[in-house]
Amino acid sequence: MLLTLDDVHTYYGKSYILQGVSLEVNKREIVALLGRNGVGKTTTLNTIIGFVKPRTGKISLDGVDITAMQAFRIGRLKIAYVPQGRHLFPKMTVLENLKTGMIHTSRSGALDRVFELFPNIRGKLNQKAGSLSGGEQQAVAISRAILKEPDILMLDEPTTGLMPLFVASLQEIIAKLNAEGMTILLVEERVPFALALADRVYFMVKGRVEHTATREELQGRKDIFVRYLGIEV
Amino acid sequence: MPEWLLNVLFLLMNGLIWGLIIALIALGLSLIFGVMGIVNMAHGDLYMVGAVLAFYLIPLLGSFWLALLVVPLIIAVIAAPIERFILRPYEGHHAVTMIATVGISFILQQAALATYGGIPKKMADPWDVTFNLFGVSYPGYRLLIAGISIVILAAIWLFLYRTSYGVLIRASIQDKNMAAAMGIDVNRVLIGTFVLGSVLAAIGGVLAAPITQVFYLMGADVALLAFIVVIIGGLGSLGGTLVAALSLCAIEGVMSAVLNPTLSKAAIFVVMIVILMIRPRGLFGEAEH
Ligand SMILES: Nc1ncnc2c1ncn2[C@@H]1O[C@H](COP(=O)(O)OP(=O)(O)O)[C@@H](O)[C@H]1O
Ligand SMILES: [Mg+2]
Repeated sequence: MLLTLDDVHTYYGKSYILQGVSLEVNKREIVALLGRNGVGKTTTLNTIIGFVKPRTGKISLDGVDITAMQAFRIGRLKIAYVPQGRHLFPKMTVLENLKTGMIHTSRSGALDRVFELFPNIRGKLNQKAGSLSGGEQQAVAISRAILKEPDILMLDEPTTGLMPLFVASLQEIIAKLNAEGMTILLVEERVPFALALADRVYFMVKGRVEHTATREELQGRKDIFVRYLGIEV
Repeated sequence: MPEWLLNVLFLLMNGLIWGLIIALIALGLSLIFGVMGIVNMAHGDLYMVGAVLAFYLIPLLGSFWLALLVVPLIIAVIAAPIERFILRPYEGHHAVTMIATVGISFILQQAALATYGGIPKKMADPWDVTFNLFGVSYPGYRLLIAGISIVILAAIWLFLYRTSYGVLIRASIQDKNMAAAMGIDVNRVLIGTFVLGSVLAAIGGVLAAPITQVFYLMGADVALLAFIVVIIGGLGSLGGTLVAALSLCAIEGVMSAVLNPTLSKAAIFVVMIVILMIRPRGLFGEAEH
């Protein structure tokens, strides 16, 4: 088990957001976390990475208890995060943004690997990250994350605001990273995108994980999507 | 060269040299605000402490250069615990941290009053060489101040924009959470920034001590000017800080030829108001994304 959440409860001030989230991600798996807007998917990822601390429950990463660990210490482990809205460092150049991914892993040739996946950003290294298009920003955000050489990559709604062409190539890139051994925890609004990639799906409802199913188990089960997401797939 | 023009030229030079000192101080203020979100009301008093320490240490150590090295170390030892034990516990509570720095300001002032005393004192130029400019002698120490300030400003620029530490600091300014997610120990950046900002104020104090009156309340005017410079220059813009400091001090210097000191200070406020009416984010301030 690479990542485990065991009955995690998280508050934002007085608002009780995560009301007992338990989930598991195995090595080399692609796991999708689905749920309607506002059920707490982003909060789950923010709790894992340490931006917000759970009040109770336990989170472990590769056997290490990271529940109470300071965010920057979690940041130095083999986990990387591409948050909703990308959160690049907007006034820094693309290259400087990428360098933040290499603080603890700097290795020559690492950048070339990123340029292979995202050829477009090679020509924009000296541009301010904030001035890039949505697709380019997403490319930089993912590059910055994978430069950390994580075992597990968490992506929060990576397709938001992308043109269809980008969405298709993003799907290929995620599949490729996974094929090379990277574990993926994906939060995604576009259900077909998530289903095309995920080995397993968790459904969240109001701060809880209510159901889990493998891709095979979901074949032909429209009722599950209606029940947990309120949509027809 | 007619005498009036010579006068204006010298006032302009004095103004520009003050501008460089103010730029150092304002840069410290701007860094502390930019990284920590703290409006440091004690910044001018750290400048004062720097000047008071210089007043004692330059004669005591017998070397201006040694004092320029030792004073920042002393200030670092004072500033680090202030950040760690007074400001850190209230991180993100802007009103509280601001009031805390008002308290620190009083403590520093009273400490200076109790030890140094309440009477303004003048100290000798540490480098009493004069240069002949247009047939008039000009104190070499002022040119030395200019040189030192320019070197320090350039070093800070290189540090922020050309080193990997600079990347860590700027990343922390722009997005603390993501900086942490990349493994950056943001708390260390915070304490480092507070120390660096305080040291810049104190260096300003050391440089200014010989050309002004050393006085336990000397920080007030300078802090006000530094605040104005930061606002006009645009937050987070190093170039803006420098341009604003130089032009404001040059204006104040030249104005003092025709206006009394109070009115020439008022002139600066007029400049600030006009600039902010035209560019609310300051000369070099960037628009919100
Ligand atoms: N910083 C915050 N402070 C208070 N409430 C928040 C904060 N962030 C999110 N919430 C609330 O927490 C709930 C879950 O949000 P989120 O995790 O972003 O949901 P999702 O990603 O599933 O759309 C929402 O009701 C949202 O309004
Ligand atoms: Mg979300």
